[in-house]
Amino acid sequence: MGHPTIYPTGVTVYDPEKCWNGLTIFQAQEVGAVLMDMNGREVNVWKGVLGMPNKIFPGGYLMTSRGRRDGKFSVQDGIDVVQVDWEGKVVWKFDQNEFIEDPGYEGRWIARYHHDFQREGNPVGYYAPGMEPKTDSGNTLVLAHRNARNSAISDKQLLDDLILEVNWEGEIVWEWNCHEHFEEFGFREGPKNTLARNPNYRPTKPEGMGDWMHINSMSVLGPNKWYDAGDQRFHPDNIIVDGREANITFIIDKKSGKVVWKLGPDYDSTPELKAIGWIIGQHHCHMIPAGLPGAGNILIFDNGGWGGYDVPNPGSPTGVKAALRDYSRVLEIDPVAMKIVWQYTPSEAGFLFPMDSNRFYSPFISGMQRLPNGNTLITEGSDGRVFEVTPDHKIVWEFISPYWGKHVPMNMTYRAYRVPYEWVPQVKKPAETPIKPLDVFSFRVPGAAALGDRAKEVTVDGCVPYGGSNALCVASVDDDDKK
Amino acid sequence: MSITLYTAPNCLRCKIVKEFLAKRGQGYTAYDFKEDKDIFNNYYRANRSSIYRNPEGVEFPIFDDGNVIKQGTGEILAYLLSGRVLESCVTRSELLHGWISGLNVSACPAGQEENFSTLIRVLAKGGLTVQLRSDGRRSDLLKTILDEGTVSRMVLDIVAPSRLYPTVAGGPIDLEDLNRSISLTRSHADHLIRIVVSAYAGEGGAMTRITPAEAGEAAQMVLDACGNRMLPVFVEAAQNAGLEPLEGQALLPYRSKVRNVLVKAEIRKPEAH
Repeated sequence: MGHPTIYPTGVTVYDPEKCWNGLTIFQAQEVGAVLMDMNGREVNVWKGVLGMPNKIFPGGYLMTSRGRRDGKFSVQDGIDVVQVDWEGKVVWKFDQNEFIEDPGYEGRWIARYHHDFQREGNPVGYYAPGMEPKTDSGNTLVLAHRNARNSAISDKQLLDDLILEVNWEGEIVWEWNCHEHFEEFGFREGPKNTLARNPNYRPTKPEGMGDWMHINSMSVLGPNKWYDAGDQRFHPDNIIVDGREANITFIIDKKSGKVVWKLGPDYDSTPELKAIGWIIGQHHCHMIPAGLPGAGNILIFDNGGWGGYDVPNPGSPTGVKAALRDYSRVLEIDPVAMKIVWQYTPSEAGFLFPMDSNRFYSPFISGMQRLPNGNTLITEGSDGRVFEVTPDHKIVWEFISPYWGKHVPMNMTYRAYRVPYEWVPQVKKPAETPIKPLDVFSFRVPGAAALGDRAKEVTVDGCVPYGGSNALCVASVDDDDKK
Repeated sequence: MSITLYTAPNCLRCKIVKEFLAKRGQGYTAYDFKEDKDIFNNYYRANRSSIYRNPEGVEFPIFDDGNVIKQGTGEILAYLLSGRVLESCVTRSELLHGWISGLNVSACPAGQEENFSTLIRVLAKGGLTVQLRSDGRRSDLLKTILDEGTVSRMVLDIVAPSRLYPTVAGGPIDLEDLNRSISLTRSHADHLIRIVVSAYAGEGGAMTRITPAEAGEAAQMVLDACGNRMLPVFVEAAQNAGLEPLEGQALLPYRSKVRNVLVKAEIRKPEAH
């Protein structure tokens, strides 16, 4: 965080030789879904939609939503999930989760969808070789809400997460209710006490509700090497989700509904978890699909910020959102060895840790996509930044959203995806014009003095040479190394 | 024919039957399965195949008049009131611990209304909590019984679409009758309306089930009768020993079809019972 007042938006870095070139879809705040080329030219804008996320499917189809329920009555309830064609015509729709009669509104079906959906044929909703999402048939998994009461969690009304599988006709054929699996998450007594008092209360009408888990990502594992080797926890039909309010990522057995693998909610119970460190308020946890570099590993956008339940402490007087950190991490984890095998953190970004770590930081939303050439497309969502990094952490493409909202005055973007040109036959392959990063040392806005425009300089006797120093106000990584 | 009762200590259901027999001046011999355990054990061994056990053990009292063996207070009283005529509307109670069910007002044979009403009255006044069931037929008798205030919970089961009612329920259903039954049910403080996925003998006698589309038809029949698409209904399957259990996720296609018509339809989960 800590942006300057003036900085460029749009595409700021582009090295076509090192990128996995294609089109990029993102949500322009309070505008709609924008599909753009590598230089930032907008090839189509579906105005008015509110995709969380937007996804492009083969044939130039957009999966998105047409808006949200009034926030007075619930939290982030999308009214529907729709598949629209290149011209914006709805070709598939789901909304029959719940028939809602909010004060001031006609009774209507609402999907209460939020944060994610997946169409049969592809486990994660982005390009993977040989796994195209179906566009004229197939079932769709939808992450949704349903209010619930469960005294084992709290006596407060809960805004529970729900996974629905709906068929092409829009009928629910399978569902999974999060609160029914509370005992499987392994909360300690302290966090349970906090949850019981305050399950992340949201002051909705006519009754408040506890957004206690807040799942923000849901995808299928798909074919993977772990299952092929006999590990039933990773059955291709199983579903991986993460709950940001509990700092937990887990895999649901599709057949039984049971939690069969989990990471969190605590990170201090085994040497492996301690090595991974606390994952806080994470987003977009998913298994890298077969056929992509790192297949079978789990990608996590570890936001930092604030998340999890624990006993009250100075950073969290009530015990809600108890773990804190002021920078983000993108982690690639081997889910069997429970070991980080690749990461992009402030250190890899070149920021001095921890003093300057918050320069890679999105405390909410965000995500990442593994690309076929091994690069990773990262959405640092809160500040509308999307960038592509190579396996050795070099930024080869970067985009800053120029869309600030009026209702929400941020240029945030929830989650961007890179799409192969072949998936959008309506667009002729665009020109790929390299953009060298600006030299920020010498770049000046009009009217500013040029670098080195110095009227005078003097030398002071007795100064010692500049050098590395541990005299900063907080300990640095270097200090640790010297122990 | 002499009547023998096999009873349990401090058994309210046994007490109701004994008092009913006494009031009618009918003599009987009673054996307590603990105090007279040798007699009961001999009887049980000899008649094991005719005696059922509920989830907590043998259902008491057991009634034997030499012709039939009956268990369950409702079934015994129905037999004493009308012989076997009420067997269509008085069946085994699925509820324990002071509750009694298995009482279907819609299946009451013509001419047996007074006996059926008496049965409900005796059960309630004897101290049992009565759950009454209707399938939407016989709203006239339902009103009579509900007006007496002896029913503690009212359950209305829509068991099939109209065209299948004769096969599944044993008689046709009239929409006006159904509408009155819906109104009466909803006027009861503790009520439940269910779209039941019924099991029934289909063509050739093999057991089959209502399909999701037929459940949707049944919901449409309800809407046609009452005109209220917001009517709260639950979808629940009637289990049948000859068929695979139908529960959990397998009920979702039924709910979807019902919800297309009655938008508040929900699957009734065990904890809601």
